[in-house]
Amino acid sequence: MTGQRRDSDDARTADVERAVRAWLHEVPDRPPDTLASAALDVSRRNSQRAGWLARWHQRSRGPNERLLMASAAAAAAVAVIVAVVALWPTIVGPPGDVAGPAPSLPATSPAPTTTTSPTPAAFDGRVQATIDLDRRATALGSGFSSLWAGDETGRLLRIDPADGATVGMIDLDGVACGPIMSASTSMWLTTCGSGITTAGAITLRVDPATMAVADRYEDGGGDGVGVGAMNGLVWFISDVEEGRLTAVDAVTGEHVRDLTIGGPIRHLTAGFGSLWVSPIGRPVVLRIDPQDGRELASISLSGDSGYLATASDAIWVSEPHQWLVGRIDPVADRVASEIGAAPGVSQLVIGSDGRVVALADEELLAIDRETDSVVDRVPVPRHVAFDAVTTYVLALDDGDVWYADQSSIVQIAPR
Amino acid sequence: VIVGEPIVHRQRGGYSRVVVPDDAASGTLTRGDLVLRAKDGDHDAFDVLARSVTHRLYGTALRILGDVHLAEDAVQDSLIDAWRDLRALRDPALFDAWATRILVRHCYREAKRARTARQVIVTAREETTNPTVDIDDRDRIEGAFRRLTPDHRVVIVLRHYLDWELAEIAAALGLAPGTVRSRLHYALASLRAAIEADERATPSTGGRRP
Repeated sequence: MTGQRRDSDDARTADVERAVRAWLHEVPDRPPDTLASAALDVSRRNSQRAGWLARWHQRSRGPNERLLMASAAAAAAVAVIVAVVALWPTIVGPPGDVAGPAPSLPATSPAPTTTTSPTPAAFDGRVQATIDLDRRATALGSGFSSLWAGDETGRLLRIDPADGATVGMIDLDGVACGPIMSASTSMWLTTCGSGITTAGAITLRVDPATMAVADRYEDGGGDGVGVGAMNGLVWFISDVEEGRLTAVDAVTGEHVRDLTIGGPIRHLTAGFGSLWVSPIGRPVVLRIDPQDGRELASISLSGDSGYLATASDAIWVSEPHQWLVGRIDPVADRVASEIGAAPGVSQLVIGSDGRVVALADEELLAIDRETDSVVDRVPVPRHVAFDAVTTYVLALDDGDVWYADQSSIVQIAPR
Repeated sequence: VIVGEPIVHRQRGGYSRVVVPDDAASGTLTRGDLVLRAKDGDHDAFDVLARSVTHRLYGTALRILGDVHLAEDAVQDSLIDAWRDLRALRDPALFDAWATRILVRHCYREAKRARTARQVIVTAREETTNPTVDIDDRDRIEGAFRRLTPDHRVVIVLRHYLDWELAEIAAALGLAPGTVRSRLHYALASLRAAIEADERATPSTGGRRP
């Protein structure tokens, strides 16, 4: 009987599949003759390197406005370059509304860090310090009083945020792709895998004392993102498609247990005695019992769930397609608020003071947890590591906000 | 100029020839050659590439977004982004997948911006007493399709309009193939549930609904 129902279901689904396929091919879709020309006219006036200028063009509407904005942007860039050259080495970073003292980054810092380069006007004049890398950054994190940056050549750099000096470097077996997170006594990160997909990625545990890879988890990664530490265990996603979570001993790195949620999941965090995961393509966050994998609660959101982060009193979740950031009440197991953020909002970091900073496609946002509102927005250049792979390049270190802008790491002064 | 495979672009499972610009008249550039030229800053090469994918991108965006103006915006923004970030593309052979990925990102943005992508999540799938209900009603299919989440619309369009294999979709979206398979499964399940819910609410009379 059950088999007959399954056959019937399969047949019905196949009917739907055929019907939607036929409908998709019936939709008339001749584009306007001028469609490509209009875009090409815009792109022809832009160089490939000036990505922020192209984005200005996208935002503007009329050709006059585009020209005006292009001229203004070019003039601003020239002004920044001239000012930095003239005032160097007494200041670091572009002139403008610099809040707070600017850390001095001596030119004698060990390679690969140097100090240079005008920062795009996108930062709204709020750059406090710039640490230049000699390669494009693919991931960023903080921990053990250091910044940690992965670059496109597969290196993991440990950087002193006080002076920008590189104090350690490891050659990874892959390019760091997920966020670099501290948990317990180690740093944890996920590699991108091979090709332009993230299949074959691995999770690494790095011992900050020895600056060596202490453990490799071949099954760890995929395109799953997030590490959760709780009760002496560190959790990470070890199989995205099956929804498998793996726990290892936080100190020794030894495997402890696996849990299978069932169904694809992408993001993970731990807190309030539970694991919290974002299933792919579903507008919910699942609360999971870390002992046996039971689903304790399914918390509905307005949009598909994304990046997760644990604060002292809440679980925060990004909803990138709805441009929202949600705050989940872990006592009531429901969404306490959803805050309008920005397109593509993804990575969330929580400061020790509870401050929430979110990274969207072209903005950094500071969220006040008391009022559940965005209290500051800083325009940033969209970060593209390579092939438009999602990157996690935001870090909070001792209250300072750091953002990896292509091949430099920028400290931004929030208001 | 390197003589090689003619420049073609895939469309609805077939291929269409694209006119080569005058400066390449002495031979035929491969698509890979064009990408390499464009990466070096040759906008004419990019022009050919862009025009070769415009129809496909527009058709894809139109189906995902369901609005010609939003689709036009998504395509134009995608082409601008493609030129700007082209140097980030490692493998020239992946230009189409890469451009589609950019387009999908802009489709998400346009859908949200215009708030035309109203999300009605169908979580409960009740058993139907008649599993062979006629589903040829195009309005009903379109209505159900528009109620899917953007993620679900995207995978259905890439799979059933562009006829892409799962691996191609995975490459374009930056997902693992298994994830794409799962997402497609859930998308079709949601679509079916939405159609059935609509059928229960407005029983079919054999014709189009007003």
